[in-house]
Amino acid sequence: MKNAKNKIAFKEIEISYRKQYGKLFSALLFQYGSNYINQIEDAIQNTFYKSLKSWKPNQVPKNKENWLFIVARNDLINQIRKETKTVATLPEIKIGSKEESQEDLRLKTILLFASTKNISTRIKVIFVLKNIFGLHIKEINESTLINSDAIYKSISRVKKSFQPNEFARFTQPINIDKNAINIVEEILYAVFNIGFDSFNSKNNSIVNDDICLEALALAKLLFQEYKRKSTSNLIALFCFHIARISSKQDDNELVPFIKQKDNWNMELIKLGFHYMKKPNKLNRYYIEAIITSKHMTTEMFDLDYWNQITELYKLLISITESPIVKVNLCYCLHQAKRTDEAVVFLEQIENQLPENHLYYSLVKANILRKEKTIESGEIINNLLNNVNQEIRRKHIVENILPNL
Amino acid sequence: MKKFLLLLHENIEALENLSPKEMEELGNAHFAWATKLGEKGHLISGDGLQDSTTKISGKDCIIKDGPYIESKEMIGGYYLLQAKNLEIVIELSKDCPCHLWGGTTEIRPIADYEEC
Repeated sequence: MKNAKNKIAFKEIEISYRKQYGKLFSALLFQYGSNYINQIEDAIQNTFYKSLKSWKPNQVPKNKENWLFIVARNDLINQIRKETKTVATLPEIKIGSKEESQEDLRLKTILLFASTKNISTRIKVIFVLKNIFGLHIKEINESTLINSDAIYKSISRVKKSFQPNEFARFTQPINIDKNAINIVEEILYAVFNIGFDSFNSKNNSIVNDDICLEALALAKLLFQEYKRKSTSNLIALFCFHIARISSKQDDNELVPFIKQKDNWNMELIKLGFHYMKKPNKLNRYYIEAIITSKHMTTEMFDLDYWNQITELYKLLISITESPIVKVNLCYCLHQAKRTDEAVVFLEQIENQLPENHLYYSLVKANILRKEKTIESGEIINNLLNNVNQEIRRKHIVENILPNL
Repeated sequence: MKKFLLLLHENIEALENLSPKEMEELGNAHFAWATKLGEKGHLISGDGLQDSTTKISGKDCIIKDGPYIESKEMIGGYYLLQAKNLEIVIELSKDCPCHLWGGTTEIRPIADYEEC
Protein backbone atom coordinates (compact mmCIF):
# COMPACT_ATOMS: atom_id res chain seq x y z
CA MET A 1 0.00 0.00 0.00
CA LYS A 2 2.75 2.46 0.88
CA ASN A 3 4.28 4.12 -2.06
CA ALA A 4 7.56 5.77 -1.19
CA LYS A 5 7.54 7.82 -4.37
CA ASN A 6 4.40 9.58 -3.25
CA LYS A 7 5.69 10.38 0.19
CA ILE A 8 5.79 14.12 0.71
CA ALA A 9 7.00 15.82 3.84
CA PHE A 10 4.31 18.17 5.13
CA LYS A 11 5.42 21.72 5.03
CA GLU A 12 3.12 24.63 5.60
CA ILE A 13 3.03 27.56 3.23
CA GLU A 14 5.06 29.29 5.96
CA ILE A 15 4.29 32.77 4.87
CA SER A 16 1.80 35.12 6.46
CA TYR A 17 -0.63 36.28 3.79
CA ARG A 18 -1.78 39.11 6.03
CA LYS A 19 1.76 40.43 6.27
CA GLN A 20 2.32 39.87 2.57
CA TYR A 21 -0.87 41.77 1.75
CA GLY A 22 0.54 44.90 3.39
CA LYS A 23 3.93 44.49 1.77
CA LEU A 24 2.47 43.94 -1.69
CA PHE A 25 -0.03 46.75 -1.31
CA SER A 26 2.66 49.23 -0.23
CA ALA A 27 5.14 48.17 -2.89
CA LEU A 28 2.59 48.40 -5.71
CA LEU A 29 1.11 51.63 -4.40
CA PHE A 30 4.54 53.27 -4.43
CA GLN A 31 5.22 51.99 -7.93
CA TYR A 32 1.91 52.73 -9.60
CA GLY A 33 0.27 55.39 -7.41
CA SER A 34 -3.15 55.90 -5.90
CA ASN A 35 -4.87 56.05 -9.30
CA TYR A 36 -4.77 52.26 -9.33
CA ILE A 37 -5.63 51.53 -5.73
CA ASN A 38 -8.69 49.37 -6.57
CA GLN A 39 -6.74 47.44 -9.18
CA ILE A 40 -3.91 46.87 -6.70
CA GLU A 41 -6.38 45.39 -4.21
CA ASP A 42 -7.79 43.10 -6.91
CA ALA A 43 -4.31 42.10 -8.08
CA ILE A 44 -3.30 41.01 -4.58
CA GLN A 45 -6.51 39.04 -4.09
CA ASN A 46 -6.02 37.36 -7.49
CA THR A 47 -2.43 36.55 -6.58
CA PHE A 48 -3.33 34.76 -3.37
CA TYR A 49 -6.00 32.85 -5.29
CA LYS A 50 -3.41 31.84 -7.89
CA SER A 51 -1.02 30.67 -5.18
CA LEU A 52 -3.82 28.54 -3.76
CA LYS A 53 -4.25 26.92 -7.15
CA SER A 54 -0.64 26.38 -8.06
CA TRP A 55 1.39 25.80 -4.90
CA LYS A 56 1.70 22.17 -3.87
CA PRO A 57 3.62 20.53 -1.01
CA ASN A 58 6.47 19.54 -3.30
CA GLN A 59 6.18 22.52 -5.63
CA VAL A 60 6.39 25.74 -3.67
CA PRO A 61 8.47 28.58 -5.13
CA LYS A 62 11.83 28.95 -3.42
CA ASN A 63 11.28 32.65 -2.92
CA LYS A 64 7.58 32.89 -2.14
CA GLU A 65 7.63 36.64 -1.53
CA ASN A 66 9.21 37.26 -4.88
CA TRP A 67 6.70 34.96 -6.60
CA LEU A 68 3.79 36.78 -4.97
CA PHE A 69 5.21 40.16 -5.91
CA ILE A 70 5.82 39.29 -9.55
CA VAL A 71 2.42 37.64 -10.00
CA ALA A 72 0.67 40.59 -8.34
CA ARG A 73 2.57 43.09 -10.43
CA ASN A 74 1.82 41.22 -13.66
CA ASP A 75 -1.85 40.97 -12.71
CA LEU A 76 -1.92 44.71 -12.07
CA ILE A 77 -0.14 45.44 -15.35
CA ASN A 78 -2.70 43.33 -17.20
CA GLN A 79 -5.55 45.18 -15.58
CA ILE A 80 -4.02 48.55 -16.46
CA ARG A 81 -3.40 47.39 -20.02
CA LYS A 82 -7.00 46.37 -20.45
CA GLU A 83 -8.27 49.66 -19.06
CA THR A 84 -5.89 52.04 -20.75
CA LYS A 85 -5.03 49.95 -23.79
CA THR A 86 -1.33 50.64 -23.28
CA VAL A 87 0.84 47.77 -24.32
CA ALA A 88 4.44 48.73 -24.72
CA THR A 89 5.11 50.79 -21.62
CA LEU A 90 4.35 48.17 -19.01
CA PRO A 91 6.41 45.03 -19.51
CA GLU A 92 5.52 41.89 -17.62
CA ILE A 93 8.17 40.17 -15.52
CA LYS A 94 8.87 36.48 -15.82
CA ILE A 95 8.22 34.43 -12.71
CA GLY A 96 11.52 33.33 -11.30
CA SER A 97 13.34 36.44 -12.38
CA LYS A 98 15.11 38.39 -9.69
CA GLU A 99 13.07 41.28 -8.41
CA GLU A 100 14.92 44.53 -7.89
CA SER A 101 13.24 45.65 -4.70
CA GLN A 102 11.97 43.72 -1.71
CA GLU A 103 11.96 46.79 0.50
CA ASP A 104 9.27 46.76 3.17
CA LEU A 105 7.35 49.97 2.53
CA ARG A 106 4.51 49.37 4.98
CA LEU A 107 5.70 51.90 7.55
CA LYS A 108 6.25 54.52 4.89
CA THR A 109 2.73 53.90 3.61
CA ILE A 110 1.22 54.24 7.07
CA LEU A 111 3.18 57.47 7.62
CA LEU A 112 1.74 58.87 4.42
CA PHE A 113 -1.79 57.77 5.32
CA ALA A 114 -1.27 59.41 8.70
CA SER A 115 -0.32 62.66 6.99
CA THR A 116 -3.54 62.72 4.95
CA LYS A 117 -5.62 65.73 5.96
CA ASN A 118 -9.33 65.83 6.76
CA ILE A 119 -9.59 62.12 7.59
CA SER A 120 -10.20 61.01 11.16
CA THR A 121 -7.77 58.65 12.89
CA ARG A 122 -10.60 56.10 13.22
CA ILE A 123 -11.00 55.97 9.46
CA LYS A 124 -7.24 55.76 8.99
CA VAL A 125 -7.16 52.79 11.36
CA ILE A 126 -9.80 51.01 9.27
CA PHE A 127 -7.85 51.68 6.09
CA VAL A 128 -4.60 50.44 7.62
CA LEU A 129 -6.34 47.32 8.98
CA LYS A 130 -7.53 46.49 5.50
CA ASN A 131 -4.59 47.42 3.35
CA ILE A 132 -1.55 47.03 5.59
CA PHE A 133 -2.70 44.25 7.92
CA GLY A 134 -4.68 42.38 5.25
CA LEU A 135 -8.00 42.11 7.07
CA HIS A 136 -11.18 41.74 5.04
CA ILE A 137 -14.22 43.92 5.68
CA LYS A 138 -15.96 41.05 7.51
CA GLU A 139 -12.90 40.59 9.76
CA ILE A 140 -12.71 44.31 10.51
CA ASN A 141 -16.41 44.20 11.32
CA GLU A 142 -15.88 41.29 13.73
CA SER A 143 -12.83 42.91 15.30
CA THR A 144 -14.15 46.43 15.72
CA LEU A 145 -17.95 45.96 15.86
CA ILE A 146 -18.22 48.73 13.26
CA ASN A 147 -20.85 47.68 10.73
CA SER A 148 -19.76 46.63 7.26
CA ASP A 149 -21.46 49.53 5.44
CA ALA A 150 -19.65 52.05 7.59
CA ILE A 151 -16.36 50.27 6.90
CA TYR A 152 -16.96 50.34 3.13
CA LYS A 153 -17.81 54.05 3.32
CA SER A 154 -14.71 54.82 5.38
CA ILE A 155 -12.43 53.04 2.93
CA SER A 156 -14.03 54.72 -0.03
CA ARG A 157 -13.60 58.11 1.68
CA VAL A 158 -9.89 57.54 2.21
CA LYS A 159 -9.45 56.55 -1.43
CA LYS A 160 -11.24 59.67 -2.63
CA SER A 161 -9.06 61.83 -0.40
CA PHE A 162 -5.87 60.87 -2.24
CA GLN A 163 -4.61 63.22 -4.87
CA PRO A 164 -4.29 61.78 -8.40
CA ASN A 165 -1.12 59.75 -8.64
CA GLU A 166 -0.31 60.28 -4.97
CA PHE A 167 2.32 57.89 -3.55
CA ALA A 168 3.94 57.22 -6.93
CA ARG A 169 6.87 59.27 -5.81
CA PHE A 170 8.96 56.89 -3.78
CA THR A 171 12.19 58.27 -5.12
CA GLN A 172 11.50 61.66 -3.57
CA PRO A 173 12.20 62.31 0.12
CA ILE A 174 9.06 62.46 2.24
CA ASN A 175 8.71 65.05 4.97
CA ILE A 176 6.88 63.61 7.93
CA ASP A 177 5.77 65.96 10.70
CA LYS A 178 5.57 65.16 14.41
CA ASN A 179 1.81 64.94 14.32
CA ALA A 180 1.92 62.22 11.65
CA ILE A 181 4.16 60.12 13.91
CA ASN A 182 1.69 60.61 16.77
CA ILE A 183 -1.07 59.37 14.49
CA VAL A 184 0.99 56.36 13.37
CA GLU A 185 1.47 55.47 17.05
CA GLU A 186 -2.26 55.82 17.61
CA ILE A 187 -2.98 53.63 14.57
CA LEU A 188 -0.57 50.91 15.71
CA TYR A 189 -1.98 51.07 19.23
CA ALA A 190 -5.54 50.68 17.91
CA VAL A 191 -4.55 47.89 15.53
CA PHE A 192 -2.73 46.06 18.32
CA ASN A 193 -5.75 46.26 20.61
CA ILE A 194 -7.98 44.93 17.84
CA GLY A 195 -5.60 42.00 17.38
CA PHE A 196 -5.39 41.41 21.12
CA ASP A 197 -9.12 40.76 21.41
CA SER A 198 -10.43 38.70 18.54
CA PHE A 199 -14.16 38.06 18.32
CA ASN A 200 -14.08 36.01 15.16
CA SER A 201 -16.91 33.48 15.48
CA LYS A 202 -15.31 31.11 12.98
CA ASN A 203 -12.29 30.32 15.06
CA ASN A 204 -11.86 29.76 18.72
CA SER A 205 -8.85 31.97 19.16
CA ILE A 206 -9.35 35.05 21.28
CA VAL A 207 -6.18 36.72 19.97
CA ASN A 208 -5.04 37.50 16.44
CA ASP A 209 -1.42 37.16 17.41
CA ASP A 210 -0.13 37.83 13.88
CA ILE A 211 -1.70 41.30 13.98
CA CYS A 212 -0.15 42.01 17.39
CA LEU A 213 3.29 40.84 16.26
CA GLU A 214 3.17 42.91 13.08
CA ALA A 215 2.05 45.98 15.04
CA LEU A 216 5.09 45.42 17.27
CA ALA A 217 7.39 44.98 14.26
CA LEU A 218 6.15 48.22 12.70
CA ALA A 219 6.44 50.08 16.01
CA LYS A 220 10.07 48.93 16.18
CA LEU A 221 10.68 50.24 12.67
CA LEU A 222 9.08 53.54 13.66
CA PHE A 223 11.33 53.74 16.70
CA GLN A 224 14.46 52.97 14.68
CA GLU A 225 13.53 55.74 12.28
CA TYR A 226 12.49 58.52 14.68
CA LYS A 227 13.80 57.46 18.14
CA ARG A 228 10.85 58.88 20.05
CA LYS A 229 10.24 58.02 23.71
CA SER A 230 6.52 57.67 23.07
CA THR A 231 7.20 54.98 20.45
CA SER A 232 9.57 53.25 22.84
CA ASN A 233 6.86 53.19 25.50
CA LEU A 234 4.38 51.88 22.95
CA ILE A 235 6.81 49.01 22.22
CA ALA A 236 7.13 48.38 25.96
CA LEU A 237 3.35 48.13 26.27
CA PHE A 238 3.15 45.74 23.31
CA CYS A 239 5.91 43.56 24.80
CA PHE A 240 4.09 43.22 28.13
CA HIS A 241 0.86 42.26 26.41
CA ILE A 242 2.46 39.87 23.92
CA ALA A 243 4.29 38.18 26.82
CA ARG A 244 0.98 36.78 28.00
CA ILE A 245 -0.73 35.97 24.69
CA SER A 246 0.04 32.26 24.81
CA SER A 247 -1.20 32.02 28.40
CA LYS A 248 -4.59 33.64 27.78
CA GLN A 249 -6.06 30.47 26.38
CA ASP A 250 -5.63 26.81 27.20
CA ASP A 251 -7.09 24.66 24.41
CA ASN A 252 -10.70 25.76 24.28
CA GLU A 253 -10.83 27.62 27.56
CA LEU A 254 -10.07 31.17 28.60
CA VAL A 255 -7.54 31.37 31.42
CA PRO A 256 -8.21 34.04 34.07
CA PHE A 257 -5.39 36.60 34.42
CA ILE A 258 -4.43 35.38 37.87
CA LYS A 259 -3.78 31.84 36.58
CA GLN A 260 -1.75 32.86 33.54
CA LYS A 261 1.47 33.80 35.30
CA ASP A 262 3.40 30.53 34.94
CA ASN A 263 3.20 30.71 31.17
CA TRP A 264 4.27 34.29 30.61
CA ASN A 265 7.22 34.94 28.34
CA MET A 266 9.81 36.40 30.71
CA GLU A 267 12.12 37.52 27.90
CA LEU A 268 9.39 39.74 26.50
CA ILE A 269 8.65 41.14 29.94
CA LYS A 270 12.35 42.04 30.29
CA LEU A 271 12.23 43.62 26.84
CA GLY A 272 9.19 45.60 27.94
CA PHE A 273 11.14 47.08 30.86
CA HIS A 274 14.04 47.80 28.52
CA TYR A 275 11.83 49.92 26.25
CA MET A 276 10.07 51.83 29.06
CA LYS A 277 11.38 55.40 29.01
CA LYS A 278 10.26 58.15 31.35
CA PRO A 279 8.78 60.81 29.07
CA ASN A 280 9.20 64.57 29.46
CA LYS A 281 5.45 65.03 29.66
CA LEU A 282 2.59 62.68 30.49
CA ASN A 283 2.25 60.02 27.89
CA ARG A 284 -0.55 57.48 27.46
CA TYR A 285 1.64 54.56 26.43
CA TYR A 286 4.04 55.13 29.31
CA ILE A 287 1.26 55.11 31.90
CA GLU A 288 -0.36 52.04 30.34
CA ALA A 289 3.01 50.29 30.27
CA ILE A 290 3.47 51.06 33.98
CA ILE A 291 0.01 49.73 34.79
CA THR A 292 0.53 46.56 32.76
CA SER A 293 3.99 45.96 34.20
CA LYS A 294 2.61 46.38 37.73
CA HIS A 295 -0.17 43.87 36.96
CA MET A 296 2.45 41.41 35.81
CA THR A 297 4.88 41.83 38.68
CA THR A 298 2.83 42.53 41.79
CA GLU A 299 2.81 39.91 44.54
CA MET A 300 -0.49 41.03 46.03
CA PHE A 301 -3.71 42.31 44.52
CA ASP A 302 -4.74 44.03 47.77
CA LEU A 303 -6.52 47.33 48.43
CA ASP A 304 -3.25 49.30 48.40
CA TYR A 305 -2.44 47.85 45.01
CA TRP A 306 -5.84 48.70 43.49
CA ASN A 307 -5.70 52.22 44.95
CA GLN A 308 -2.31 52.77 43.28
CA ILE A 309 -3.62 51.53 39.96
CA THR A 310 -6.72 53.68 40.34
CA GLU A 311 -4.50 56.78 40.61
CA LEU A 312 -2.66 55.76 37.44
CA TYR A 313 -5.95 55.38 35.57
CA LYS A 314 -7.05 58.79 36.81
CA LEU A 315 -3.83 60.20 35.34
CA LEU A 316 -4.66 58.46 32.07
CA ILE A 317 -8.14 59.93 32.04
CA SER A 318 -6.60 63.38 32.29
CA ILE A 319 -4.92 62.87 28.92
CA THR A 320 -7.27 60.58 26.99
CA GLU A 321 -11.00 60.41 26.41
CA SER A 322 -11.09 56.67 25.77
CA PRO A 323 -14.19 55.09 27.33
CA ILE A 324 -12.25 51.83 27.72
CA VAL A 325 -9.83 53.56 30.08
CA LYS A 326 -12.85 54.61 32.13
CA VAL A 327 -14.15 51.04 32.17
CA ASN A 328 -10.75 49.94 33.48
CA LEU A 329 -10.93 52.66 36.12
CA CYS A 330 -14.39 51.44 37.15
CA TYR A 331 -13.03 47.94 37.57
CA CYS A 332 -10.11 49.16 39.69
CA LEU A 333 -12.35 51.38 41.85
CA HIS A 334 -14.62 48.41 42.47
CA GLN A 335 -11.63 46.24 43.40
CA ALA A 336 -10.50 49.01 45.75
CA LYS A 337 -13.95 48.86 47.43
CA ARG A 338 -14.85 52.29 46.05
CA THR A 339 -17.94 51.07 44.23
CA ASP A 340 -19.90 54.36 44.56
CA GLU A 341 -17.19 56.18 42.58
CA ALA A 342 -17.16 53.35 40.04
CA VAL A 343 -20.92 53.69 39.46
CA VAL A 344 -20.52 57.41 38.68
CA PHE A 345 -17.98 56.64 35.94
CA LEU A 346 -20.11 53.77 34.63
CA GLU A 347 -23.01 56.17 34.05
CA GLN A 348 -20.71 58.61 32.22
CA ILE A 349 -19.67 56.06 29.63
CA GLU A 350 -22.93 54.17 29.18
CA ASN A 351 -23.66 55.77 25.81
CA GLN A 352 -20.09 55.97 24.57
CA LEU A 353 -19.75 52.27 23.82
CA PRO A 354 -21.76 49.97 21.54
CA GLU A 355 -24.71 48.16 23.09
CA ASN A 356 -23.73 44.94 24.84
CA HIS A 357 -20.06 45.84 24.73
CA LEU A 358 -18.42 42.74 26.18
CA TYR A 359 -15.93 44.26 28.59
CA TYR A 360 -18.22 47.09 29.74
CA SER A 361 -21.07 44.64 30.35
CA LEU A 362 -18.86 42.29 32.36
CA VAL A 363 -17.52 45.11 34.54
CA LYS A 364 -20.98 46.61 35.05
CA ALA A 365 -22.51 43.23 35.94
CA ASN A 366 -19.72 42.64 38.43
CA ILE A 367 -20.11 46.06 40.05
CA LEU A 368 -23.91 45.74 40.33
CA ARG A 369 -23.70 42.14 41.52
CA LYS A 370 -24.49 42.76 45.20
CA GLU A 371 -26.73 45.84 45.12
CA LYS A 372 -28.73 45.11 41.95
CA THR A 373 -28.57 41.37 41.45
CA ILE A 374 -31.46 41.15 38.97
CA GLU A 375 -30.08 43.90 36.74
CA SER A 376 -26.65 42.28 36.90
CA GLY A 377 -28.12 38.95 35.76
CA GLU A 378 -30.01 40.63 32.91
CA ILE A 379 -26.80 42.23 31.65
CA ILE A 380 -25.10 38.86 31.49
CA ASN A 381 -28.09 37.23 29.81
CA ASN A 382 -28.16 39.98 27.16
CA LEU A 383 -24.47 39.48 26.68
CA LEU A 384 -24.89 35.74 26.20
CA ASN A 385 -27.47 36.41 23.51
CA ASN A 386 -24.98 38.55 21.64
CA VAL A 387 -21.62 36.86 22.13
CA ASN A 388 -20.98 34.89 18.97
CA GLN A 389 -17.73 33.24 20.00
CA GLU A 390 -18.19 29.90 21.71
CA ILE A 391 -15.07 30.11 23.86
CA ARG A 392 -16.17 33.42 25.40
CA ARG A 393 -19.73 32.20 25.90
CA LYS A 394 -18.42 29.11 27.68
CA HIS A 395 -16.24 31.26 29.93
CA ILE A 396 -19.16 33.48 30.90
CA VAL A 397 -21.48 30.51 31.56
CA GLU A 398 -18.94 28.52 33.56
CA ASN A 399 -17.01 31.21 35.41
CA ILE A 400 -19.02 34.40 35.61
CA LEU A 401 -22.67 33.39 35.76
CA PRO A 402 -22.28 31.12 38.83
CA ASN A 403 -20.71 34.01 40.80
CA LEU A 404 -23.55 36.47 40.23
CA MET B 1 -5.13 -1.12 -6.38
CA LYS B 2 -7.81 0.96 -8.13
CA LYS B 3 -7.48 4.53 -9.27
CA PHE B 4 -9.99 7.29 -8.65
CA LEU B 5 -10.25 10.85 -9.88
CA LEU B 6 -11.47 13.21 -7.20
CA LEU B 7 -12.92 16.31 -8.82
CA LEU B 8 -13.20 19.45 -6.72
CA HIS B 9 -16.31 21.45 -7.62
CA GLU B 10 -15.46 24.70 -5.93
CA ASN B 11 -17.73 27.54 -4.95
CA ILE B 12 -15.92 30.20 -6.95
CA GLU B 13 -17.65 33.16 -5.35
CA ALA B 14 -16.78 31.98 -1.85
CA LEU B 15 -13.15 31.32 -2.76
CA GLU B 16 -12.63 34.63 -4.51
CA ASN B 17 -13.91 36.46 -1.46
CA LEU B 18 -11.74 34.75 1.12
CA SER B 19 -9.62 37.00 3.27
CA PRO B 20 -5.82 36.60 3.00
CA LYS B 21 -5.82 34.70 6.30
CA GLU B 22 -8.57 32.35 5.13
CA MET B 23 -6.75 31.83 1.83
CA GLU B 24 -3.56 30.95 3.72
CA GLU B 25 -5.45 28.56 6.00
CA LEU B 26 -7.14 26.87 3.03
CA GLY B 27 -3.77 26.47 1.28
CA ASN B 28 -2.30 24.93 4.43
CA ALA B 29 -5.31 22.62 4.77
CA HIS B 30 -4.76 21.32 1.21
CA PHE B 31 -1.04 20.91 1.91
CA ALA B 32 -1.74 18.94 5.07
CA TRP B 33 -4.40 16.76 3.42
CA ALA B 34 -2.27 16.03 0.35
CA THR B 35 0.69 15.19 2.57
CA LYS B 36 -1.41 12.79 4.62
CA LEU B 37 -2.68 11.09 1.45
CA GLY B 38 0.89 10.88 0.16
CA GLU B 39 2.15 9.32 3.39
CA LYS B 40 -0.54 6.65 3.23
CA GLY B 41 0.25 5.92 -0.41
CA HIS B 42 -3.10 7.14 -1.74
CA LEU B 43 -1.94 10.20 -3.67
CA ILE B 44 -0.80 9.80 -7.26
CA SER B 45 -1.07 13.45 -8.28
CA GLY B 46 -3.16 16.56 -7.90
CA ASP B 47 -3.41 20.06 -9.29
CA GLY B 48 -5.40 23.23 -9.07
CA LEU B 49 -7.05 24.38 -12.28
CA GLN B 50 -7.31 27.89 -13.67
CA ASP B 51 -10.77 29.41 -13.99
CA SER B 52 -10.43 29.84 -17.74
CA THR B 53 -11.85 27.05 -19.87
CA THR B 54 -12.20 26.24 -23.54
CA LYS B 55 -14.85 23.90 -24.90
CA ILE B 56 -14.60 22.35 -28.34
CA SER B 57 -17.75 20.69 -29.61
CA GLY B 58 -19.02 18.83 -32.63
CA LYS B 59 -17.45 17.65 -35.76
CA ASP B 60 -16.98 21.28 -36.81
CA CYS B 61 -14.96 21.88 -33.63
CA ILE B 62 -16.89 24.91 -32.40
CA ILE B 63 -14.74 26.60 -29.82
CA LYS B 64 -16.28 28.36 -26.85
CA ASP B 65 -14.19 30.07 -24.20
CA GLY B 66 -15.21 30.33 -20.54
CA PRO B 67 -15.48 30.68 -17.60
CA TYR B 68 -19.27 30.59 -17.67
CA ILE B 69 -20.41 33.06 -15.11
CA GLU B 70 -23.87 31.54 -14.78
CA SER B 71 -22.46 28.59 -12.83
CA LYS B 72 -21.56 29.13 -9.21
CA GLU B 73 -19.52 25.96 -9.07
CA MET B 74 -16.58 25.07 -11.22
CA ILE B 75 -14.09 22.23 -11.26
CA GLY B 76 -11.23 24.02 -9.56
CA GLY B 77 -8.86 21.12 -9.09
CA TYR B 78 -8.45 17.39 -8.92
CA TYR B 79 -6.63 14.68 -7.01
CA LEU B 80 -5.77 11.36 -8.63
CA LEU B 81 -5.95 8.78 -5.85
CA GLN B 82 -5.43 5.08 -5.46
CA ALA B 83 -7.00 2.71 -2.98
CA LYS B 84 -8.31 -0.82 -2.67
CA ASN B 85 -11.91 0.24 -3.06
CA LEU B 86 -14.35 3.14 -3.39
CA GLU B 87 -15.32 3.04 0.29
CA ILE B 88 -11.80 3.97 1.34
CA VAL B 89 -11.74 6.88 -1.09
CA ILE B 90 -15.13 8.09 0.16
CA GLU B 91 -13.82 8.12 3.73
CA LEU B 92 -10.63 9.93 2.70
CA SER B 93 -12.52 12.47 0.61
CA LYS B 94 -14.77 13.53 3.47
CA ASP B 95 -11.77 15.43 4.84
CA CYS B 96 -10.99 17.19 1.56
CA PRO B 97 -10.56 20.95 2.28
CA CYS B 98 -12.72 21.66 -0.79
CA HIS B 99 -15.73 21.22 1.52
CA LEU B 100 -14.63 23.99 3.89
CA TRP B 101 -15.96 26.80 1.70
CA GLY B 102 -19.09 25.37 0.12
CA GLY B 103 -17.44 23.11 -2.43
CA THR B 104 -18.49 19.62 -3.51
CA THR B 105 -16.25 16.69 -4.30
CA GLU B 106 -17.03 14.04 -6.90
CA ILE B 107 -15.31 10.67 -7.08
CA ARG B 108 -14.94 9.10 -10.52
CA PRO B 109 -13.37 5.64 -10.60
CA ILE B 110 -10.89 5.31 -13.46
CA ALA B 111 -12.28 2.74 -15.89
CA ASP B 112 -10.38 -0.49 -15.56
CA TYR B 113 -12.53 -3.32 -16.89
CA GLU B 114 -9.82 -5.92 -16.56
CA GLU B 115 -10.53 -6.01 -12.84
CA CYS B 116 -14.27 -6.72 -13.33
